[in-house]
Formats: sequence, structure tokens, C-alpha cells
Amino acid sequence: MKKKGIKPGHISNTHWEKKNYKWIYLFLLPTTVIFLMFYLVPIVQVFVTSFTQWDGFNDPVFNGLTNYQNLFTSSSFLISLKNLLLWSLIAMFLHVGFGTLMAFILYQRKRGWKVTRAVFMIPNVISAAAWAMIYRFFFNNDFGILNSIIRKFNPDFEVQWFFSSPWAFWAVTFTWLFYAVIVTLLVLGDLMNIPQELNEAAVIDGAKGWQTIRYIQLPLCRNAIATGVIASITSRITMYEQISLTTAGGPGNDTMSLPILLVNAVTDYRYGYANAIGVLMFVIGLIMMGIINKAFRMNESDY
Amino acid sequence: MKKKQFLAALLAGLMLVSTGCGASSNGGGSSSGGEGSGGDSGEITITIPSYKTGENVGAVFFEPQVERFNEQYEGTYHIELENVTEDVFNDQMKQLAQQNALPPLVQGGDKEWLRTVVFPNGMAYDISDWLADNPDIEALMLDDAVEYCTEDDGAIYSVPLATVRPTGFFYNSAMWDVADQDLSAMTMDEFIELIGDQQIAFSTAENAWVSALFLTALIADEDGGVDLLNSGIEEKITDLSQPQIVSAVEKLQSLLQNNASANSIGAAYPDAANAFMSSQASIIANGPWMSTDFEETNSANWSNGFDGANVRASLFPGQVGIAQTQNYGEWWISAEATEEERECALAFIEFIYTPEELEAYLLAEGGDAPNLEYSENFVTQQGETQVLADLAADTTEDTVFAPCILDVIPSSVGTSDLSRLLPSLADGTLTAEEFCAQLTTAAQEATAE
Amino acid sequence: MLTLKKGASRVFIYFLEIFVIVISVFPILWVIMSAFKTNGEILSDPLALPTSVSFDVFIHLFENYNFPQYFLNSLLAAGVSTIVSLLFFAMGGYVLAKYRFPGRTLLFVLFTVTLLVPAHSKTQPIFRLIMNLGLYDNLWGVTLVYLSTGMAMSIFILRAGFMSIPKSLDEAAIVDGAGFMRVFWSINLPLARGALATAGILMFLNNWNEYYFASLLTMSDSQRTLPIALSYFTSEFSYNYTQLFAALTIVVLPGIILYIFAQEQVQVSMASTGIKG
Repeated sequence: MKKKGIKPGHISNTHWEKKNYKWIYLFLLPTTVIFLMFYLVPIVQVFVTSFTQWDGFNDPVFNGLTNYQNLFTSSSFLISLKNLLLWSLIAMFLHVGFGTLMAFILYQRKRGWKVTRAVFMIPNVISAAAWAMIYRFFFNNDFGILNSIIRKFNPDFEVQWFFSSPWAFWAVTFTWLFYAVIVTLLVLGDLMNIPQELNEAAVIDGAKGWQTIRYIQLPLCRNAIATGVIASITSRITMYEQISLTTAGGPGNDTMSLPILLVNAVTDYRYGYANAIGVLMFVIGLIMMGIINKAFRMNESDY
Repeated sequence: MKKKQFLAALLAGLMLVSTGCGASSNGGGSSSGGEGSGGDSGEITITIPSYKTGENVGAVFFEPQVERFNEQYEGTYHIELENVTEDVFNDQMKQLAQQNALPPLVQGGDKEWLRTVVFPNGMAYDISDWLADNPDIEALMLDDAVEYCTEDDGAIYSVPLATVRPTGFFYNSAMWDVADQDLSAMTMDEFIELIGDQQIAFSTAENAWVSALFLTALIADEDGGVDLLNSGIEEKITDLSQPQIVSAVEKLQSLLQNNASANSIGAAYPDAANAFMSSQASIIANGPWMSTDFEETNSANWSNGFDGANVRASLFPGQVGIAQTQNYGEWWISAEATEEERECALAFIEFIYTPEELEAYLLAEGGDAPNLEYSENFVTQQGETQVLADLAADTTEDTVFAPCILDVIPSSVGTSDLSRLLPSLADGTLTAEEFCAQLTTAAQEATAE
Repeated sequence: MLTLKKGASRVFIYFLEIFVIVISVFPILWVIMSAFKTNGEILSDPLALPTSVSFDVFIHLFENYNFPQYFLNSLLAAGVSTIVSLLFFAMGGYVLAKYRFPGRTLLFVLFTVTLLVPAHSKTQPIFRLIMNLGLYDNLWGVTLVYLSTGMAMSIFILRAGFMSIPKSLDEAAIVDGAGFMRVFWSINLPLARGALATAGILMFLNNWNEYYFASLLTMSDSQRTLPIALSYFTSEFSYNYTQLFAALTIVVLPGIILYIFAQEQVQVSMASTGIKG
């Protein structure tokens, strides 16, 4: 299936691309059309009206940077930024880390790996409302699963996980931390595409199991892991129901997030302010994407 | 290439299904519904989207009411209902309005949107002439409501309400035997003392509905509290650190700490309702529509020895009933409606404002029609539903109406900040002053220019 | 010593596998189980098994709502949109992964920031678009909107999938005289099955569960999808959890069954082509 001996020289490559520009753009056309139909207007609108006072119906009134000034003087907003940073770090290391670990474990193809891979997707089917309810029951102080277990060892234990500092932050984190199926499938896909000879060659060279992982397999999954990190962090930026249906951002501002502030602004018909938050979400997302792209050298192919 | 075959088969199957669906879909038609359907039979049909359908609590009364209308006007008018879910309903109306595709008769809609968008922009039909031609209907409407619905130029868009449903609280007389006392005639302090160690079903999640009702009653009990609440109807209250509120919050904190049923913190409305209907709490604040939950037909949802027959109701101490009479009504007519559609819509409004229908409504969902002379039959029937009779007995000329706190503060403070801060108030992390200060910050940020 | 280590790592592997299975399956089992409990039982003892099995709620639901119609509508909207958009995004993801051309980074960034577009800002433009196309209250309007919903995540997944396919395979095919289309269709697409399956399943499940646009853009019962039926049970002041969970079961279970069925298909076809390189 695979031919050897052809040098993947850059010159021939570029030539091939130039020759096929027509195809390349044709291939991008459908996605671009969908983008233009469904996303261009909202994105432009978000940016433009973020500099206005707007109730969403009557004409927006230009008010310069007022929305942004209000944002940066709001303590809820600053705490949201801090929370986002912390959640992004957790997503990057723990969430993606767990997903990657699961991918390597499934890659061992021990008994039950197919079932595990299949059921891991199921939580994605359950609507956010039911999800929040399940976790409200899980963390409930009186009859929740968690405290019932803890009280077996310490009968006097009392913690309102979702409603007291500092637990609420971690309780909210827990509702998504281990649901890393996308990362797992991305990394597993990359692992399965590693040519068998590479693994075998490493073994012949005397590499131990973890050495193969560290020096051969992990680097080859770089792109998948980076993609997982970006996907995971963007989900943190947009995380709404997990919070609004459990802690609503409390206690105090402990679990406050940008989408909560955004929806609150929409509730009050302050679309200009809401869109200023939207713009900042874009900016943060772009910055993070840029950083991760650089850190993982994502644009370089491996083979 | 099994997968390709599979996909091809799936696609083919879907195409088949879709053509079937397409054929059957024409009946739905456009939202401005049934414009041309007057046709041969001479019957005018309008289609109105409503959330009071299906599983919604409001459907129990509303769907049969539309049926009665269709029966009475068979051959002349017909109303077709479309089932729209409550949480999308307002959004859908807003979008339809922007595309000039509103249904002829519109149910509700967000108050703020009606006030700032629909009515000023001429999207609604002015019923003031019609009302002038029907003085008997106007006489039934609440004076406050008519006044509120009348615009500066004399136009009336929203159909003013004829009924008021003061909200009080329910209690389980099997657990708390105070049925021989007039609770609403007490002062709040006497009432709190009487509660003793009874459990109250509170909720703090979502809009903290049950807690918000108690907070409203506590504020109304303070000096100038009712005026304070009323002042929020015109302009939202953003200073929530006013002494009346702080003092009321202090009392609420004490109730949350000493009388809240076990699951109150983080409880949503269903949790609170269940605490009451499983005898884990003996008191719950809620509107009269909850009376249907205490009828025998709902016994499947009772547990732990709860019996709906033991439930009694009362307005809050100081004769406070939570209700907002200065408000828009439930219905308005689209300016886009054709003459025929308008005729049908007005006939429906006339129908639901007949004494029989108003009485039927009061029997089903509770409340009071102050300008209506009740029939004897109604009075006996109302007496049969204990909680409605209790509330009717409490609703007198001396009743003090106060709007719910949730309606007089910026919306987002009610929907989000209350539930964010209440657990900390309950566990003592926040004092009443700190709680109010944080709410004030939130309210001021929510109304900043 | 070696066997001990091996044993330990095996225990570790099985432990994690079981952990993942438990956290994934438990919630859905709990939902199904709760459909058979009374309201009081759910709220006061959420973990207990139902005391009796009764299908009354399900019968009530099937008698009052046209679930078969909703099911077909959901299948149509989610199925067609997934198949079409999967093809579109695969084409896009493929060239973004494998070719360098002017505007590449810009397009990639634009496609992926769609994930960050706030929902409220999409409502009005999309509603207007569907109105103007004459697709209001028509399932095809909903299907059209679903083409767009999975864009960012699918481009992420598919681009990463295509990137991990060795370029040497393409070059070999080019040397053999294959054109652009054939390199895509015969070499890359089959090798990206894993990514295609992941993206496709994810889009399908998301669209299967989507209810906001479905309810916003339709009104008549014949155009409704399953999740809308679910939202009938979550209105304010409704507290009947038994019904809610029963409805949830009716909505979610077919999704899972379809998913497992599709997963099986994908695995079979993957096994039949030895793509180990």
C-alpha cells in the first residue's frame, strides 16, 4: 500500500498545490457558503453593536467604549476572566490529559476497549438540563451520592458542594472534567494511524514501553492533542448551562463566567453590552488558539 | 464498502420519509394562519400559537375554553391552537413581529418588549373604540389595569385584565393546626412567632420563586414597603440596600436558617413543591393556581402521608396579597390582522370576558374579579375548593396588593443573581447588609447605560 | 518483578476502563430508571430502585403526542444535515489540513470561531433567512440550519484527522497519476474514517437533541421534532419529574440506539480495510 523512496520535496508539493488551486477553493466553497449564510451577519453585528447602546429592536445608539469600560470595572467580569483562565488550565492539563490517557489505554486493546470507546460518547446525548439535575442530585448535601458515601466514614460530614466556597468551583469543574471523549477519539485516531514499522523499529532499538510512548507515539499525536486542547478551551469559554443550572455563578462570584454575564445582559435587553462580552470571548478564543498553535507547532505535518 | 451502502440506504429512506412529511405539512401553513380559510363554509378560522397547551399548567383550563368557544360559534368562528413551548414562545413572537408575520391574536409576550417595541411601533391594534362600544366589558376590567393599558394618546392595545390573582401561601393543617386563626390579619412578627419550628419549603435556584414571594411579603410588611415595591413598576428598583429591604432580608435569613425544609438550598420549584407534597414542609408560598395540585386527581404526586384535603391557604400577614394590577393583560391583536381575523379575535375576547367564562376561570385557577357580581352557583362551587374559598375570604377591600419583588428589580437580578447569592445568605457567609449590597451592585450594573 | 508490574498496569487499565464506563452509563441509566418512579421517590430518594414498574406515563405520552412523527422528523433533520455537512466539512477540513494556499489561516480561524458566536446574535439573522427562503414552519428549514451547527467542532476534528494521514501516500498516488479528486476520495477519505465517524456521530447527536431552533422555526405539530416534545415538560411550575424523565427516555434512547448501530457499521468497515500502514 505504501510506496517508499519518493522524496516529499517542497518544490513538487507547492507545484501540485498551485496546479490545484481551483480544486482547493472549490472544496472550501460549501463550508464558506454555510459560514456566510449563518455566521457572517451575526459576527459583524456582534462587533459593530458592541460599541452601541441597543435594546435589540430599536436603532442602536453609538456610545463608544462605554460597554467595555463598564465591563472592565465590573468585579463579576474580572472574576469571570480569572475563572476562565483557571478552567482553561484545568482543561488543558487535566481534561485533555485524562482524554489522552484514555486514548493510550484503549490503544492497548485490552478486553472491553471497544465497549468503553462506544459508551464514552453517550453522555453527549443527554441534554444539559437533565445533566445539571443529575449533578444537583449527586452533590446534594442531604441525600446526594457523594455525601452518602462520605458519611459512611464520617457521619458528621456536611458540605453544600455547589453552594459554598471553595467547593462550588470544583464541583462545577467536576461536571465536565472526565467527559473527554472527543480528545480520546482524536488521539486514538492518530495512534491508530502510526505505521506499525515505527513501533516495531523502536522495540528493536531496545525502547521500553514508556519510551516508545514518550519518544514515538506522544509526539506523533501532537496535532490531535493540540486540537483537543483548542476544542476543550473553546468549550470552557462558552460553558453556560453547567453553571447556570447549578450554581448560577455563585456562591458570591465563585463560579461566574462570561456566558452567564452575557445571558444576563440579554435578559435585561442590553444587547450592546452583551455583544461587548461576545467580542471579548472572540478575542480570548483567538489568543488562546494562537498560543496553542505556536506551542504545539500545529501547522507542521509529521510524515 | 458496507458503509457506503448503509449510507445510501439511509439517505434513500430519509428521502422517502421526507416526501411523506412534505405532503402532510401543508396544513400548518403560515403563521398568519387561515387567511384564506374563510372560504366556502363561511367560517372564519384563526390559528394562534399558545404555550397554554399540552403539559403546561395553563392548558387544563385554556384548551377546553377554546373548545367551548368553537362550539358556541360553530359555523362562524373557529380558533385553532398551535402548541408552542413556553421558553421559546416570547422569542418566537419577537421574531415573527420583526418579519411582520404575527398571528392575528397574540397571547402575552414579554412586558418590556410590548412596552418599548410593539405598542410604540404600531404593531398592535387599538381596541379603545371596540371597548367604548362594549361598556359592559370595560366595566368588568380592573380600573388599575385599564389605566395602565391606556397609552398617552388614549389608545389601548393590550386587553386589560378583569381578574386579579393575589398570591399568598398554602399550609398543611395536619402538620400545623392553625386553621381557626386568621393568619392574614396578624402582623408579620406575630406570624413568625406562630410559625415556631414549622418547616417552610423554600427554593433558591432558578428565580428563587418561593423565597422571592416570602421576601416580597416581608418587604411589604415594613413601613413604606408597599410603596417601595410599587415604585418599581414604573422604574426598576436598583438600590436594594434601602432599610426596608435590608430589614426584610434579615428576617428572610432567619427563616432560611431556622425554618427552611432540609432540601431548600439549591432547590428549584419542583423540589420545593415536592417538599410540601411529601409532608417535609408544612408551608409553601405560591399562587392560587397550585390549588389543582391538591385535588384528588393529583394524588399520584403525594407521598409520606400528605393529603391535599388538609391544605389551607391564606394571604400574607398584614393582609398582603402579591399581585400586580397595574399591568398589561394577556391578549393583544396584531395590527396586521385582516378584518375577518380581527372580528374573530374580538369575538374570542368578548367570549372570555363573559361572566360565565370569568367565573369558570376563577374556579380553575383562583383569583378574584372585583367588578363582577358572582352568581350563586359560583359562590357555592368556590366554597367546595377549600383553598380557593380561603383565599376568597381573605381578599377584601382591605387587601393590600403588592407586586412581586421579581417584577420590580432588573430581570437578570431576579433570574440569576438571587439564586447566586441566596445560598450564601442562608449559610451565614453573607450578612443581610452584604447580601443587599451585592444585589445592589448587580442591579446597578444591570441598568448601567 | 516484570509480571507484577504487568499485573499492576493491567489493573490500572481495567480500573480506568470501568471508571469511564460507569461515569458514562450511570447518568443515562438513572434517567431511565427515574421514569418508572413517582415524583416523590425521585426527589427524596434519587438513587433507590423503582418500587414498581408502570408504563402508564409512556402510554399517556404516546396517546397524547405523535411521537412516531416527531421521531421521523428528527431522523430526517438530523440525518440529512449530518450526511451533507459531513461531506462539506470533510472537503474543507481536507484542504485546510493538507494544502498551503493564500487565506488558509484566515479561513481556518473564521470557521472555528463560529463556536464562539453567541446564540442570541444568531437568532434574528437565521430567522430572517429561513423566512425569506420560505422555509418557516418547514422541517427543511430546520435541516438547513443544522448544516451550520457543527461547523467548528467538525473542522477541528476532520482537519486533525486528515493531518495524521501520511503525505507520502498522497505523493505515491500522484506519482501514479491520480488527480486531486482521486487523492481525496480514494486515499484520504477512507483513511480518515475514524475522524469522519467521530465528527459525524457528534453532529448527529447534537442535532438530534437540538431544540431551540427546531421550536423557533416550526409551529405546526407535523413539523415538530423529538426534543421539542421534551421541552413541553420543562415549563415553569411543572414539577412532574416522572413525565419529564419518561419523555427524556423516549427522546434519548432512540438517539443512543441509532448511535450504537452506526458505531457498529463504522467499526465493521474499519476492520475490513487494514489501514495500519
